[in-house]
Amino acid sequence: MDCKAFRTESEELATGESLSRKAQAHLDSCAACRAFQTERLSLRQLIGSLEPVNAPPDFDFQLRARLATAKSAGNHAAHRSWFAPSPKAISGAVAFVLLVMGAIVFKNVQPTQLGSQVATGNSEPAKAVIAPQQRQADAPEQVAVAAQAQSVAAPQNKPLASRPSEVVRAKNGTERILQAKQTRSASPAPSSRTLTADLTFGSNPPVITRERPSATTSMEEKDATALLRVSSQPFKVMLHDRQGALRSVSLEPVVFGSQDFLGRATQRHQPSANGEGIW
Amino acid sequence: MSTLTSIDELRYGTAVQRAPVSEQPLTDHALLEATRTGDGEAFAELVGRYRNQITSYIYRMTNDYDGAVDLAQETFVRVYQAAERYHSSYAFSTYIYRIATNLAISELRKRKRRRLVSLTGFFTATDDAEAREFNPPDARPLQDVELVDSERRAAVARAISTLPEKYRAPLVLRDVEGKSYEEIARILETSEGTVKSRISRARGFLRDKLKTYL
Repeated sequence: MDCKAFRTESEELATGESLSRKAQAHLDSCAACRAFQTERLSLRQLIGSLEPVNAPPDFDFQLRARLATAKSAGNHAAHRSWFAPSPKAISGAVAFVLLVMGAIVFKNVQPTQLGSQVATGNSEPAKAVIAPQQRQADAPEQVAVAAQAQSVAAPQNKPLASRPSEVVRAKNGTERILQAKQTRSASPAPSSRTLTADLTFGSNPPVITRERPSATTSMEEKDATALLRVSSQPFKVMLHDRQGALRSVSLEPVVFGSQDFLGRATQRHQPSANGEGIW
Repeated sequence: MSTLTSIDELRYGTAVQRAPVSEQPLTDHALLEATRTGDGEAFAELVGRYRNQITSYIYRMTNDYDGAVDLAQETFVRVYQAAERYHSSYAFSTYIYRIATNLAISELRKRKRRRLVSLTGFFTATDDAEAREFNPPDARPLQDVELVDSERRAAVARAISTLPEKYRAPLVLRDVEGKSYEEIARILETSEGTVKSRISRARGFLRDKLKTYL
């Protein structure tokens, strides 16, 4: 028997058991294993000297109380589990609530985004209209107004004065005041841009031509306002530029109560310089 | 003159046959079967048989008497609650020691997470690293033999409590509780070879810690 086998047998030996004959022979001949055996026996005696610890006298009493508590807790838990919804139901309810909240948020956000797009002029159609204008910096813009859905006749270009004289009144004697307002996007303005507004009324449409200010004009100053007097009938505003882009806007006549406020020939509304007072 | 031993003998005379007392105590399995049917006395008998063993074993594992009593009671609560699911394929002692071991190891892991450091302890409990000694044993000669023994036992208990839990449980079961390798393997749900190697390793750790007492 070698030392490894002896030590294995010595380790596995239960307290009080004696070594086998081979192990005893090896122990007699090997001093290292004798030292190992002595040390291990001493250690096991040391560990075995630990006195057993007894449970306290009231162990049973405490245990009965604990069992009673556990029973009542188990009953409560059973009641809770009976009435408690399953995890699937909880997750389904949470998913439903999240879906509803998402829909509400989406509905609230969508008009805001559209509004901001209109305000900043970043909407896709505006880009489509403006892009050709940016390509040709000198391309004039035409605004045509066709009363009573009449087709646009040959325009009579008239230059507009610079602000505040951008607001120009038509000369054909119509009695309705019309404001056509155009808001540009925040794209860089080409220098020396010319804006031409064609106002057509029947066979003799008024023409508004506005010369854009210089290149130093800010973005906010790119609004073109056309002030027209038209009849009280519905009419259509058609905006098109020389690039072929055309937009049509139908406008209903404005009636304040029973009074045809705009229809009176004698009443003329003089707009202020900043456009206030014009609807 | 015969001595009366019950009120029935006074009423009906000594001819009343006494109920035969069974000489053979009920086995643990039988007691647990009776517990299943709602026999509280059977469960009390089981508790009486194992309360000291389980308390002592958990105390050796945790080195905390109050905690050991609490865990021992929890062990019996679990035995009682799981009596319906008990299978008598192994000895009841294996079953209850397994529950106690799991509770003790769970408590040791909780303590490790909390990182509680005992002010009175002089070892730190680390899992794989060797335990560090805070307060080496006093080398001065002690006056009283009883005091020496007491101090030595306390040192051994503290040294055991510093062992990693995977070495502590088999060592306590083998060298303190005197369980066989086979039963230890069943309790710890591992192989006998693993148990033997862990016990050998644990003794090696203890030998290094208790050199002054050997």
